[in-house]
Amino acid sequence: MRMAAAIFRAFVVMVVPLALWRLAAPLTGWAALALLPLGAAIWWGIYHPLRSRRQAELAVAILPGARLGRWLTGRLGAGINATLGVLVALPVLGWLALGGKGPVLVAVAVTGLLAGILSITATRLLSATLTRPYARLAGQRIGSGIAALAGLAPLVWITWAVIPVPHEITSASLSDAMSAALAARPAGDGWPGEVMGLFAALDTAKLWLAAQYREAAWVGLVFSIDAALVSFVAARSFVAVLEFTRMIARARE
Amino acid sequence: MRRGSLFIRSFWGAILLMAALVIGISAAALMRGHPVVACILPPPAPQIHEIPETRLGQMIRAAGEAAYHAQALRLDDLLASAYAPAYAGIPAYADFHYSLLGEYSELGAAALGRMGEGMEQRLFPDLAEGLQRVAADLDHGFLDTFRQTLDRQVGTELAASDRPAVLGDVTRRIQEDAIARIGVTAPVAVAMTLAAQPAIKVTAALMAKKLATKIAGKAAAKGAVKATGIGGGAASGAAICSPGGPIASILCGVGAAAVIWFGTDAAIVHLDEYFNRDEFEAELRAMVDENRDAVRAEMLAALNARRVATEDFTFREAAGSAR
Repeated sequence: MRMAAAIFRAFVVMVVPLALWRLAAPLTGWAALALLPLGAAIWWGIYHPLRSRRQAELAVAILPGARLGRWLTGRLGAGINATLGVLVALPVLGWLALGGKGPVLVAVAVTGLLAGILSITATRLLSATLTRPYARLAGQRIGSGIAALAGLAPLVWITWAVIPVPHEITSASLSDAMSAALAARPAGDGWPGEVMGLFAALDTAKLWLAAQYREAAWVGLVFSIDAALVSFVAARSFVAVLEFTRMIARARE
Repeated sequence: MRRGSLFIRSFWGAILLMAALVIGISAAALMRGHPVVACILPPPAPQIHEIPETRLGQMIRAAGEAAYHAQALRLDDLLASAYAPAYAGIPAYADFHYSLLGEYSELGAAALGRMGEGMEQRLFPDLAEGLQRVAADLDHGFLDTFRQTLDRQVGTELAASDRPAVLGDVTRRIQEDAIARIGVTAPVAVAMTLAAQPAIKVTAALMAKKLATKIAGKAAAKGAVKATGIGGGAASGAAICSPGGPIASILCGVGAAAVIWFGTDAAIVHLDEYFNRDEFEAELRAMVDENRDAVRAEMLAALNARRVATEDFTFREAAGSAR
């Protein structure tokens, strides 16, 4: 029951900002503000377990009272990692929320929920063997990794067999196709629109490449790389948000 | 702890505020066209009707099919008018071919290897322009039929609604986009620019090759007749004029040889025309028929490419159709 409540809370924290972003992005660039709480949650969700594990390592490695002990706290490394994570996750999730078709969004949501369930379960199992900082980080990585791999196949299938592609992409040149995608990007003007334009261009380049060489076997690889990025980012982000909401719940208690 | 508590409250406050905004905006979007308070005095606003994307996709495909079939039906008539000058020019070309001037012109062109160009200019002078007009006409007709069929289908869908309805923004945009897209995608005129002119050149070159073989054979046959005729004629001419002195003899000999040269040519050309003209014209007609059939197939393929361009596809379908 507690697991279900924790996953529901994380789901709300993940979906509400993305939904508001999807609704408001075509109207104003300020819609990007809706992603800030999600960014903060992901940042904390990555930062906190990393810092805890680093501190556990440093507690063993550094002598008590050593001068460097004041500087080597594990915060900087964890902060850089968390910042990089947010810089990758937010644009990918933002693009997914904005341009993703229904079946893709459902598959990504299921991947996220699965990642949450698996990461809690793995952490519990590992807690019998490892200390808490190690069990938590390893459990999160195992849970999100397995869920991302499981979500990969449906995502590739959906992109390949379900989502229709406009026929003109087969006769347009790459530059024409990208110009059309940039002109029709859904996030309007302003810097969020520019960032989404980059994703629109990359997505169109992927479709164009796949459409031009649709008889070649390596086209599957293009889809797999794209779907793997989406699947791993969604799973890792959901686990980070879950960690954040559980941390808040623990703080309340 | 107090700072942490403030952060947690702010965080959940932000999430709740955003949830309220999402629900509010979604509800407002749902309410568009469905006013909460009923208006009594003014007549009810027409219902905004959005046609589902899958249904609209079917309509666009059906419009593409209708446009293709309508233009395919017109194609034979349009080609008949484009090729009419070529067919009408066949007797004139045969007149030219069975004349002394034509004979020497064709021999000269064959010797220079430019017979194909001459044939193209004489037999198909305006065919390339005519085919371009046909292609433009087909493009125009395709777009018109596509637009009319799509409009009619959308109109039928709107009329089936129980209340007066107007088309929603999304549907109208998709409809306009489909029409604009079909207007610029895979035009027949572009395909014909690439295919028609080379096809005409190939046909003219083929005709010229066959004709050159005939002319060479005819020239060889005439050569033997002329050699004896000219020798005898020149000798007789020289003998008749011998009382006038040696210079008169030479002039009379050359004159008699020239008269026999051209006289023989004219006689053989007329004999050839008498026996072979009908067959020659039939051969020319068959070659023009062949060219017209090839162009017709190209135009049908180009029209079909336009029809296919109205359809979206999934990569799975594309892989299936490629096999």
